[in-house]
Amino acid sequence: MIRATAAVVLREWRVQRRYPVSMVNLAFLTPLYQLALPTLLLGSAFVVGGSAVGLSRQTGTSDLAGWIGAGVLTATLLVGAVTSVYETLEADRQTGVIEHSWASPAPRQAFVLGGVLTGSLFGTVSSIVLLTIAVTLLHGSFALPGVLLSLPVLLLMLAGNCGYSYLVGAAVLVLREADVIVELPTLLVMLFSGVFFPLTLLPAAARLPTYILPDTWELDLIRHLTLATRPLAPVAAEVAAAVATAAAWLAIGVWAFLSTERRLRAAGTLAQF
Amino acid sequence: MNRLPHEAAAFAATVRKEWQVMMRYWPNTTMLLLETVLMPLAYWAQAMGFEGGSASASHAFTQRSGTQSVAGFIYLGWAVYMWISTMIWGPGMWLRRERMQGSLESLFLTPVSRFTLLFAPSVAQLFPTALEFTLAGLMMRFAFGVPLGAGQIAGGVIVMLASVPVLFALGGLVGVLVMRVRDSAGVGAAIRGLVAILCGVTYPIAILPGWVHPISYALPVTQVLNALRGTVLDSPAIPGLWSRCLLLLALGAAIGALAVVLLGLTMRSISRTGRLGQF
Repeated sequence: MIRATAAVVLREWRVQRRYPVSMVNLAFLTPLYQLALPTLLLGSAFVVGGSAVGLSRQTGTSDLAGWIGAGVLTATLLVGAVTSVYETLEADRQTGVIEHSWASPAPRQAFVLGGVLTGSLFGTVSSIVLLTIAVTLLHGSFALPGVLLSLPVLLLMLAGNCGYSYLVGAAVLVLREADVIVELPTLLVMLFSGVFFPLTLLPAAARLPTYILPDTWELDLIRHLTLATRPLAPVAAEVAAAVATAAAWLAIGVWAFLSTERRLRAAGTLAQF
Repeated sequence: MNRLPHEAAAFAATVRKEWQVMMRYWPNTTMLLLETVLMPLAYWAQAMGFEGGSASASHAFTQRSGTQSVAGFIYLGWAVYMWISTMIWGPGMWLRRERMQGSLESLFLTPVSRFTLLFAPSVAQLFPTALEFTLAGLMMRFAFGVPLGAGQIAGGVIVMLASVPVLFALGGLVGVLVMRVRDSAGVGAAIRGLVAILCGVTYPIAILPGWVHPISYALPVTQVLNALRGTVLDSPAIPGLWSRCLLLLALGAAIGALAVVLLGLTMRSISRTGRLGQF
């Protein structure tokens, strides 16, 4: 499993290297211009005398760059994992190699895991660059003990993203044009995880669905630990919720992917698109 | 021989073909429409988070954007952004797709003009664009209570019609550009990103550093955005409406002519080197 996953990661790295503009775009420019800059500039439009007074009232921190930076980190890791899995499976199918790859004794999960790891690696590099910019140029400030405590939270995030990516993998296998079906739920997951806006803005009833998303708890924990924002719930409860939701998404994702794969193998429609 | 009827037939056939492809993959259009509603909603919620109920923060936004209507500002910006995105990924990538599918060489053996090749695919995209702007208008009027009278709506439609040539021309220019590069998806995304950053789609340009302002204001998409926001969110009898529309039409004609000339040069270069079918 480990060797097969590493081989998928290596292959994806070689593919990305062949298209350097796309690689830079995927890993760095897209999070920068689609999320970080628009959010930062929109936030700057509400700054009064150099202070984000509105954000401070809403979340407990006036560190605009730091608050956005944590959101960009979460979004970049999620989108990186999902996009990589989607493109790995879709490219294999379109170039006609998926049946050959899957005829090998490599576990099917390796193709998803390899995609998740590739996307997460790109996402991590991109996030480090963006967070460095936030700290050095925009005076974002993250508490160092909080950063260290956030590392296990990031591992939980990886597990949750992995579960979601398995679901995406299942959708790609079943559907002919899955990009629409993948993009919209991914956007909704980002929206309702608090990446774009503080979830406290939502009415109580609308906030309930956000609680089943692992990223909601993990992002809130990271912001609380590093920026001292007000948490949505007591920290112990947030940790328990983060573990439970990440485990649940992973289990459901693996089950959905494997059962879809079995069904397609029986029907003989794996390579159809 | 009068070529006009034949050219018109080729133009109509290209539009019909693009329409059929668009209808075949209708979920993509549905996704675009959902994005037209949802993404500005996210930016609006974000703006509310940044405003945080603070009157001074709200006043700061009004000073910088020139309007009190956060929702109107964002929805109009995003609708134009979706339009330019549609032009980049649709007509802008059309010649590239023909190349990948192996039909570009056959296409160029026909006597169809460069004008038809560049601009006919854009016509079919007017349908989703009209739906996007209608949805944006409905959201502004009924979800956020932006006061949209007949004057504002008529002014907005006039600006949109005047913007059609410049948007078609930009799509054509991207189409020519991606004929020369292998990594067309990366180039398309980079152009889209530059538009998002420099043209003030979801935030006022006043926020950008001073040295960026001349670049931002010189871009045609910024002109479209400013004309649309000025007409729809300000007084309907805005004095500069017609001059703005004339400017947009002139920009469209100039960029469109440039795209046609560049396509000719590119095709000659590619034909000489035998790379017409390569990608």
